[in-house]
Amino acid sequence: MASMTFGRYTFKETYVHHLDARNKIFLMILFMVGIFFQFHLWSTSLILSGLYIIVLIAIMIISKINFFQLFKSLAGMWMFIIILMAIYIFIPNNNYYLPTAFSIGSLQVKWDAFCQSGYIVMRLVLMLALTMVLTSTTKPMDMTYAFEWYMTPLKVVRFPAHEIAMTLSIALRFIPTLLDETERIMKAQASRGVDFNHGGLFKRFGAVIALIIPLFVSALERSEELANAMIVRGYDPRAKRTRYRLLRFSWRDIIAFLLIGGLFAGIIVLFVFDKKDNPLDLVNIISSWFGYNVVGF
Amino acid sequence: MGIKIENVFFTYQKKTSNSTLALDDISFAINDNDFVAIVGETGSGKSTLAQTFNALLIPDKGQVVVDDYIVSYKNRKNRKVKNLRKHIGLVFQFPEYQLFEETVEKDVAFGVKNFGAKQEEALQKAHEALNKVGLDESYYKRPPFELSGGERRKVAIAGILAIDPDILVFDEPTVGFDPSSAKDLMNMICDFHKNGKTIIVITHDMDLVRRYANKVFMMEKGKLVFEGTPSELFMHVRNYDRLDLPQVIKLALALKEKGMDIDISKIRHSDDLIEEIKKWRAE
Repeated sequence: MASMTFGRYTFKETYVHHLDARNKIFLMILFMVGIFFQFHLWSTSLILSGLYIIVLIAIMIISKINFFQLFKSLAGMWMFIIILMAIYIFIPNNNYYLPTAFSIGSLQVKWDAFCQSGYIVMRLVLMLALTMVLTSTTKPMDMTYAFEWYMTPLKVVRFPAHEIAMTLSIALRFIPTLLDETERIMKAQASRGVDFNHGGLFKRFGAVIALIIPLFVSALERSEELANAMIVRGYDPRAKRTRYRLLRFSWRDIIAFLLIGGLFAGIIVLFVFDKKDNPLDLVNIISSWFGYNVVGF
Repeated sequence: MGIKIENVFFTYQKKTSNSTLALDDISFAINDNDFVAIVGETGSGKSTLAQTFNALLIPDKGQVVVDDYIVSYKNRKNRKVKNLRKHIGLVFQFPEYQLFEETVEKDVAFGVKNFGAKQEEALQKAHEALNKVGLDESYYKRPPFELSGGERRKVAIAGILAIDPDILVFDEPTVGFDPSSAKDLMNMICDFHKNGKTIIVITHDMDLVRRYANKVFMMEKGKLVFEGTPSELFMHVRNYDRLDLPQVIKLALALKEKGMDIDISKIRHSDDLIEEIKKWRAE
């Protein structure tokens, strides 16, 4: 189970670690929305993606995140990535103006589709890296506090913000415990001759049942115990409470906000200028700064 | 038969900042039909060691030899590991949490079936095992989740017993039990021993050690610090107050200090102490 370390919080003294969780979540969402803007011209999208990648690499270096971890988790998703790419490549596209790579029967596969699938995978990697930055630099507890903070306005309409945040934080807290439990039950069942690694589909399914049911039983029992312990200590979800840890907005947050917010604002401006009949051509604009004029890209 | 442990090393979470050396150059042998106790504080590596016996954990260095099966890093992908596990039954701490079938008999038969037995044979063996742990016919069809904690543990032990291993390893079998059910359970384990099984019990209850074991191994911080008989251990532990001595031994030691000439190595039960006192008075 030790292999499931993707994005696990590890404390380091860095700028990103000290940022306010609320700010980090907000900026992450901004960044993600930015990633999902699609421009009419390929070249423009590509240049901006390059910009995102550079910014993200910079963030990862600042927050001292192991790049190796990201690649490892990507390697674990190879099946998903291949299926995703295949779907994008084989979606029928009958645009005559686009060059065809090859055709199977009446299905024409365009070069464009390859680019499109590569673009999607790149977005996926960017998203993954972003969430990794967030989860490995923010304490899970701070994250739930931040969620609660964002949901506070909804309290007016009796939305149970605190309860949801509490449930979330308990769930996060018990992930390692349940992983340990899983390992323990696996070992116990292995002693009874269950083989989790070999055997046919049917046999493996049986093995999983022998793991899941005891796991659920113990999780339910544990939750009941926890609920009782909370009641005994006078827990009341509606009561007003103070907090041990406080989220604070500091000068760091303002700087980060200005930087990422500026990037996002820039992208919005570009997007507004990107019209269908007059697409924004970044290649041309940039090259014109250097005195070149590229036509017909 | 028996188990031979040769220079075993094991580290948890290798290559990370919080790696811990759980087993540090452990070597000893357990003979056929021994009743062995492995004692030590929490975190001394007892349970880790037990898990290397049936290849649930593979030693980084060194080997554990059970019959002709070798548990070692080199041999880690051996497909015959199932044979080994049929040979060594490992009852984990709180085994009641591994139950999952709808009825008690099905759960006990589950292990037997995994090792290749047919349904009827498995059920028959399950019934035998259940009777051995003291659960009668009325329990066969009941769902295990309806039973009390103690009964569930018995069912789980029966689940291992039904496989009919030659060596039984119990990891803290009496933890969380009241004294009388703990005694029942230990007497049961003793019966298995009398029927020719090799028993290994991991515990820190020195009273159990005194009563039942014929060989004790003591571990501390991953190292084997003592091996010998229980009475030797008590003499050893005396100048070493990490483990709590059994009450009888404490009393005997106190009497001896006051000038009563008692042979402590002979004391296993309170009756032995009475005998010794009588002998001393006669003299």
